[in-house]
Formats: sequence, C-alpha cells, structure tokens
Amino acid sequence: MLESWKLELDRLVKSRFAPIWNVSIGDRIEKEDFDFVKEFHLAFCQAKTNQMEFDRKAAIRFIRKNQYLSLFFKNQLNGLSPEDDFESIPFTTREDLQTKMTEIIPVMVDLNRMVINPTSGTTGQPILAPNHPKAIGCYVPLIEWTVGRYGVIPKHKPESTFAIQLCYQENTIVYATTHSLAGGAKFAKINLHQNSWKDSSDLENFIKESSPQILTGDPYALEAAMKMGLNYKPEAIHSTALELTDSLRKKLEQHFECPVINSYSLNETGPIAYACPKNPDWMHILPHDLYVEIISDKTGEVEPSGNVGEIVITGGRNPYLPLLRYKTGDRGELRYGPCHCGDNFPRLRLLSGRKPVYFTKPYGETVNPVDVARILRRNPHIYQFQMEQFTNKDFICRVSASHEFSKLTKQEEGTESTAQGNTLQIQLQLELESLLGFGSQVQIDTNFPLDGKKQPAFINSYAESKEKSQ
Amino acid sequence: MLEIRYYIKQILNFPILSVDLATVSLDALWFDALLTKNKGILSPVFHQSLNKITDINVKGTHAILAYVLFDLDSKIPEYDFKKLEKYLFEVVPELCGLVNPYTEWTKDAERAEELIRSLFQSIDLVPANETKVYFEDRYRSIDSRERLRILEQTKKAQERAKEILRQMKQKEEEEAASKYNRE
Repeated sequence: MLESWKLELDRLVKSRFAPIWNVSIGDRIEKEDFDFVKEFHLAFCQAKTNQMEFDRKAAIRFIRKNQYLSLFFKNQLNGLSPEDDFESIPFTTREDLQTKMTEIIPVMVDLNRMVINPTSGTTGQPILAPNHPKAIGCYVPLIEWTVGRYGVIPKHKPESTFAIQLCYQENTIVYATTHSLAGGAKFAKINLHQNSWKDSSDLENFIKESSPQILTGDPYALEAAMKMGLNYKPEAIHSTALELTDSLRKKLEQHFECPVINSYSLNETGPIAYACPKNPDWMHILPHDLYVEIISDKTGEVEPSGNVGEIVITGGRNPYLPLLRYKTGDRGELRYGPCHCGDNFPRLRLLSGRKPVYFTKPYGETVNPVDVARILRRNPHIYQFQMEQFTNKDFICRVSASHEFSKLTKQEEGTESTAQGNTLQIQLQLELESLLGFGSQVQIDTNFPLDGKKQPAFINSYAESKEKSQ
Repeated sequence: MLEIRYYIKQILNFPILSVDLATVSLDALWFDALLTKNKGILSPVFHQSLNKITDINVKGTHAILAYVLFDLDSKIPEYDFKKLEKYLFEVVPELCGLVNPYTEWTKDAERAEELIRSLFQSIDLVPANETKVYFEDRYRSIDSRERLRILEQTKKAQERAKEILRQMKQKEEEEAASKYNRE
C-alpha cells in the first residue's frame, strides 16, 4: 500500500465517528491480479463499445477450454460435442456446487489464493463458492461502469471514498480498506445496528465525513437507513442481494435524492445484470463473459426470447469456479435487440424471487434474517434450511441435516427446552432463541427436503397475516 | 501376422518346465531366437549384455518373449532390433514390477494379451484383422501401467479434493477479499 493511501485510510479508520471496526481486510490484489483486472476491464469496455455480448459461440469456446481442465466438465460433456449438443449438456445444479466442488475446480490451479466470500444467506441452501482475489477485483470496473451509466464518475484517488456498504445485522464484519484497482479510493463496510457504534449520532457523522460517492447494500439495509432518517445524499445507490420493489426504489430515490440502481449479482457468478437507466423494470446483462439462457420449468429446454423460465449461466472469470449451464434457481425472461439507453446487451427481467423478509422479536425489535442465516450456515450439520415466524414469538426452523443432527434421542429430564430432539438440535434452538429475543420459541423440524431447489429461506407468515387483516 | 489370439495362446502354452531360469543365459537365448531374423549374422544382436539380469521374473518374461518371437509359424514380419532392445531393457522390467511372478503371463489370458500387445506396440507391429487405432485402444484398456497411472491420479485427485475441502473450510474461517456489494 502506498504511503499516501495508508495516511488517508488511517484518517478514516481513526475518525472519532468511526464504527467499532472488528476485522481488517484488504482487496488482496497482487501485481498479476492487477494486470488481470486491467485486461478484463479493457476487454469489457471494448465489448460494451462494440456491443459484443458473450454469445453461444463464446460459451462453446469457454466450455472447450475447461473440458480438459475440470473433471466435472469432462464428465458432464461425456459423449457430447459442445457445439452440436449444446442443449443436451446437463445442467450444473446448486447441489453440484455443494457436493462436487472438488471436481469442478480445474486441475493445476493454485489453491493458496482461494478466498471464500460468504453469501448473505438469502436462500436456504448456503453454497461455499471459492473465489480468487482477481475475480473479486473485477467487481470494481463492473460496478464503476454500472454507476457510470447513472452519471457517477469514480474518483480514483486516496482522498476519495468510492463506496460505503450498509448492512443492518446483529453481527457482521465491519471494516475499511482502500482498493488498489480504484487508485486507492477508500471503501468501508458498516453496520447500521446500534451495537456497531460508540454513539448513536456517529453513524451519520461518519458517513458525512467519509463522503462516499455511492452507498451499496441490500434493500433491507437501505430501507433501514431510510427509516432511521439517514441524512446523506450520495451520487447513487447500488442495491443487490434481494429483490428491490418498485415502491421501495421510488421511496429510496425520494429520500436520498439520487438514482437507485437495482443489480443482480450472485456469489457464484459475480455481477450479472444492472437496471436499465431508461426502464428499470429490465436489467442489462453486465459482463462480457457470461452466457445467459432461460430454461423452461416444465421441459428443461431453452426458452425462446420473451418466455419466462429459470436463469442458467455459463462462463465467468473465477478460476476456481468455471460455470457450465449453472441453474441459478432464479427466474426471469430474456430479450434481445437494441435499447434506447444505448446498451444493447440482452435484457433480463427478473421475476419476484428474493423478497426481503423481516423477523420481529416478541417485543417488536426487528431481526435481520441474515443473522439467522449466519447461525445456520455455520452449523456443519445443516445442508438446507428455512425459517418461518408464525406468531409474534413462535418460529419454526426447517432443516435438511446430517443423520447425527436429525436422529431423535430421548430427551433428558429436567431440561426446560421444548425441542424434542437431541443435543445438537437443542444447542441450535437455544442459539436461535437467543438471537430472536427473550420469550421467543423455536421449533426444529428435520424433515425439510434436500432437493437442490432454491426455496425461500425466510417466511414471516405472522407479518403477512397481519398485513392482510389491516 | 496372425490374429492376436494365436500369440496369446502361445504365451498361455509356454513350456515353463522346459526352462531352467537359474542357469539360462539370456544372451544365448536371444541369439538363438533371433538367428533366423538376423539373417545368420553371428555378431550379438544387442549392444549390451542381458546376462547381467538376475531378476527371475524378468528372466522368465524374456524366455516367454523369445519363445514367441522364435516361432517360425507365427508369421511375425521384419522389425527393428533397436526397438526390441529398448523394449527388453526399459519396458520389460517395468512390466515385471507390476505383474509378477512371471508365470502370471502364462496363467491369465488378459495378462498374456497385455504382454504380447506391449511387445507388438514397441516394435510397431499390428496383428491380423486389427487397425492401429483398435490395437492401441485395446492395449490401453488392459495395460497395467495405464491402470496404475489412473489409480495414482485417482489417489492424487482424492488427496487434492481433501486439500480443497480443507482449504475451503479454513478460508471460510478466515475472511475474504473486500468487495463493494453483497450477494
């Protein structure tokens, strides 16, 4: 890190308004990664300028490149010609990513550079997606280009803070860093939760003092910031991870007085699409190295333009996770052709999928489901989960789990727990009840199917029934 | 050339009891076996002596191969002695390391086929009614060295898989690289 960058970062970290930092993270970019991202950026800009999206031919080249490097590719393509039998190539499922990762990772890659970015846990089937700093580094030009389409000109200098990511969780990592791919511009990830601050007024002061060009976050955190009355006007807001409804987008735009850009991005792929500046109901495919197909829910065949189906992705730049017709579990439709906004990459309309869900403690305080996901994701016995709140204090946690976790043992007398399970279940139940507040009751149901489907991870039927009765 | 089954049968019928491996001179054995092929020239066929070989399984395998190549009815055409020498000095010890005792060649039809195909592959011969592609394909499917390679690869793959999983678990405990958005 250059001395001038360090000085600027120190100033931000040691600000009297700073949150309680709990980790120290950098972008992990080394010289060869830097060159890789610069080349990627160049190719990306050329592709956008020339309107050369990643089509099937490019996807076939990508598949051929990986056919003899990844055992998984080799097996999936057994007896098939990538060119002649493209639509017969079996899909990669989320379950494959959970169970066959060691086959997917190409041979000869250096495992030492592997990083694991945890997902926010919006689906109940956590996937550990190995990634490489250089592939994560590519988020910088992709996101900068996206906000550029909304008039933001990123300032590549250490005095500038490009982005602050907002979270609203009981517990999450909070850190600040500089991004070498953005000329040393600063970035911070902060938690809006009061636990994260020495004084409640510090949050707004810190953001104003840092003066980030953009705010990023999921709709849940962005709404929380708005409800707190955060008085800051960024140049743009970049929203990911959960569905951003039209009404929330408009409210956020009114409150923060800036464009709010809905983006579609997955841990497994990186950024996929961003909202069209002319028609935000549609998103343009963002990168030049992802091939998107829409697959019929009924037949599994490729849907022609204009039909709704599951979004399937081939390609990418993550050296540990080349994707071969990966079924994302999300649904949408795809359209081709020129667009008034000037970006002629295919347009994607995402179907309602990952709606933000809120849980409430018996005494009214909101709980971010991501905190629930964090507990369940880290439990080695749990493969898939779904959490539902059905009264003001009652929750059911459905899990597909290991035999050890699922088998029932005789409950010891004298325990006050309502769990009818074994020690592992009781431990989980207590951990969840501690998060969900005094008086909450969590039942554990071990009959949740492990079917690889992207199920809603969080349901609040109590809140839904209250809304209906109002 | 005759069909492969003819040569396999020769190996399976090799007269084990007619050979005293303890006293046999491999140089003499090969000199006799190749005399007719060498057009009666009396100088040694090979550039180095085979008598230094003491491993009983290697000697036994030499005896089997000499027996097959000597057979005048086997219709084996001309071949390059240099290639045969290379085969005897380099490939045979490797094969004997994987298939032993040498009597295994004579007891198992698949092993007999492996031995004769390994010889023919080295001296560039293809049995009757076979294409080169078929010959190679069939040889690969029964080649003990190939199988060992696959096993080694599998073992390496398993070790690599364990290493990947270990690293993934460890990396999750650590922290990832900073990125602007969340997913």
